[in-house]
Amino acid sequence: MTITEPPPTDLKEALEEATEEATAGAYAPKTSRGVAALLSTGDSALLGRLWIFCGIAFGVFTFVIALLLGAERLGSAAIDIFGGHRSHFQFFTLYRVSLVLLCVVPLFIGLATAVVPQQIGARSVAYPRLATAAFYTWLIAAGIMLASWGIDGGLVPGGQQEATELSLLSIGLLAIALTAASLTIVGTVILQRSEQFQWLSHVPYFSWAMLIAGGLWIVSFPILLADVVVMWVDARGVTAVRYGLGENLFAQIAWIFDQQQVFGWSLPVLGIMGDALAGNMRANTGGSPRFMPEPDYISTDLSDFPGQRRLQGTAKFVLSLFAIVAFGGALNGFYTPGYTSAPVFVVAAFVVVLILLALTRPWGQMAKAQPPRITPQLAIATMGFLLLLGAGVLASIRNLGRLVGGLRIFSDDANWLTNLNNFTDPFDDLVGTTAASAVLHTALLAALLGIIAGLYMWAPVIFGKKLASPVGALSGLLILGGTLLYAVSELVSGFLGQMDRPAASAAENAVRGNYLGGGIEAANAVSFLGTIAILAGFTFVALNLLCARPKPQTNK
Amino acid sequence: MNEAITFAPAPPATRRRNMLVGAGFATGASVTYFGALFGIYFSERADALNSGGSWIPSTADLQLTAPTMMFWTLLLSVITMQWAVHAAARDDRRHLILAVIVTGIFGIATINQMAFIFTQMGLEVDGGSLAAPLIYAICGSFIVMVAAALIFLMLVTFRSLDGQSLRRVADGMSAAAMYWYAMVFVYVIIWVGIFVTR
Repeated sequence: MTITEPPPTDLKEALEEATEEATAGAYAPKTSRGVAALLSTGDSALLGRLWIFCGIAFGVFTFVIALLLGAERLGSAAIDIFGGHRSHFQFFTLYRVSLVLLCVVPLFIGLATAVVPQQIGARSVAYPRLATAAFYTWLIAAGIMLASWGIDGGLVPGGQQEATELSLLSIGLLAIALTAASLTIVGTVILQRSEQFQWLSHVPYFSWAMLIAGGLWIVSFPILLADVVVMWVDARGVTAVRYGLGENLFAQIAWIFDQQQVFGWSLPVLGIMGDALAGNMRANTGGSPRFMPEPDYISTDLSDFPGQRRLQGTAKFVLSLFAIVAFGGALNGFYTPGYTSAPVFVVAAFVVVLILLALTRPWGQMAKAQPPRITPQLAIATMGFLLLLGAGVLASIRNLGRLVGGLRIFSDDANWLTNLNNFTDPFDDLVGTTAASAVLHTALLAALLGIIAGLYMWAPVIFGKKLASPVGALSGLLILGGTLLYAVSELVSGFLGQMDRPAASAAENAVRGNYLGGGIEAANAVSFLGTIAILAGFTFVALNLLCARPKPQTNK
Repeated sequence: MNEAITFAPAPPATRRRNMLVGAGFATGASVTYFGALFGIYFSERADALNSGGSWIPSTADLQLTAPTMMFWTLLLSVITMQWAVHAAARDDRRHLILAVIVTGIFGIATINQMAFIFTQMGLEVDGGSLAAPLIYAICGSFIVMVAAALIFLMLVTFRSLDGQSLRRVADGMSAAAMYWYAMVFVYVIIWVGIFVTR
């Protein structure tokens, strides 16, 4: 029997043709176009862009509200801008919810959806349909939330009941969507990484930070959802008993704006800082910066540099420890009124600072061994890191009275105790004041600086265009300066007794005596200037993103 | 010439357990959700009892018969669920379908019993009791969890009906089982924490 064997090359071509026909032929699904493509996309890069554009749009909206709230606090005699205490409180709650659930967390998720698959060598995210569903659920929930606040809903007493229920529904949906989005990112890092990353700890910093932060968010958002469900069930009755009462609504979710959880929302900034440092270390080839290559922020593995893999591993380990003190779901002040005195709350504020300082050691050693190229991206990321450290310091100041007060148990000397009490009294009075607000804003604006650094680092791979670095540096400086003005003035007004949240009614305002006079008004004026700078910086970034031209294609 | 020459593409890399990992995180999120609800329930109950008040209002009638029946029903469903996982791993379609149907019936019976408890216990959300909204929030969420577990199980089972090897869906069945077991675990806490200890 004779067997005729075609030449191998012909056979290979024939097989390839047959495969192409089978995959691209009549049985292949038709490709959607236009709106249908947008709604059904599983493309992680497109989804990432959608998250980022919407997050930036909601961010601008959020900071405009912040500006109005700041302007309101300038006048001590009467409420002018919002037309009443309840309306003022309504906008205050809208601002806080938007800042976390519509701006900071979605922007991190957008960056991660677009960048993490590229960093770990994956074609897309692990669960593309879930990622798409998460984005559109979030977008619809955001729309419902803004509409519900617009029709006299929100987390305030005396609102329309149906509108309030709609607000609760939207916050619940936001929590579900953000949990699902976090799940896709965590799943992507665990499941889709290429063979190059045999060990999970070898993935780049940002992917590692999103793995840790995503895991933290997966256990944080369900707690928010549980709070919202309890409020909603109680609010469904003809008269709410406790949880659904208007004056109790905001207090039940206030933990997401307080130490420790604010550090949990900001955690990925550490990953961005790590990638900015590593990318610029590799880019520093010596000589004039003009002739140095562009930093590569996607592949930031430095294992070919002596000793760097160990230092990178140490930095990632320390970064993971940060998550332990960044979980605030167990510290809900509504159910545990004395939570600010809880040892875990007090000590965690100081541990945050220690962990961030510990992180500077491996990064410092890395930079010492191979000095990085100084770029605007690295500068902005460093500003973000330093602001996060500043947030930790502010949290420590807020808790100093409690910590020092704890020393009372070691002595019964009357004089010593009197001196100690004199020292700690001003710090004890910080509970419930704008000192907490200073921690919130410093931590979340540190996150925003990290996001801006990330946008300028990864814009070519996310948007196909390079953003103007000087604009990024200017925006970074504006936000840094604005945050410092804002945070320091909030801390000062906290010492002067200004409450963290505005009064929800005229009666409450009369009892609290919110605006106490000269010192607080001066501090409020400074914080207003800070808000203007922050809004300006953020708007510059948004405009730069919209106006940047596509990156010219180069033939390799 | 007896040497086979092929240019077929290399076999795909070992499939990572996407569904199992995803279901693991979803289960973790669900358990955290119920953990938060239980935390609220137990802390509020402790506050109410410590202040000398009663927790369940005297007008309510929380009987133990139906919740205990639910407990045994769900305990049996753990066995039938594991039967389904075992059948999928052994490529035994007949046993798989039988096990899934029995498990599904147990799940539907659980929802039915919970609905019966709602009608019988006489708790009103706006009746002035702090316990009522929390019990309805927990038990209502539990019904949603059972429904989600049933839908998950149904979807995985549909994938097994295409005539191909069942080992392909074994991961999915294990993932559905993991979620199911977490649901049963949540119910055990509801049974003890709400109905037995009241």
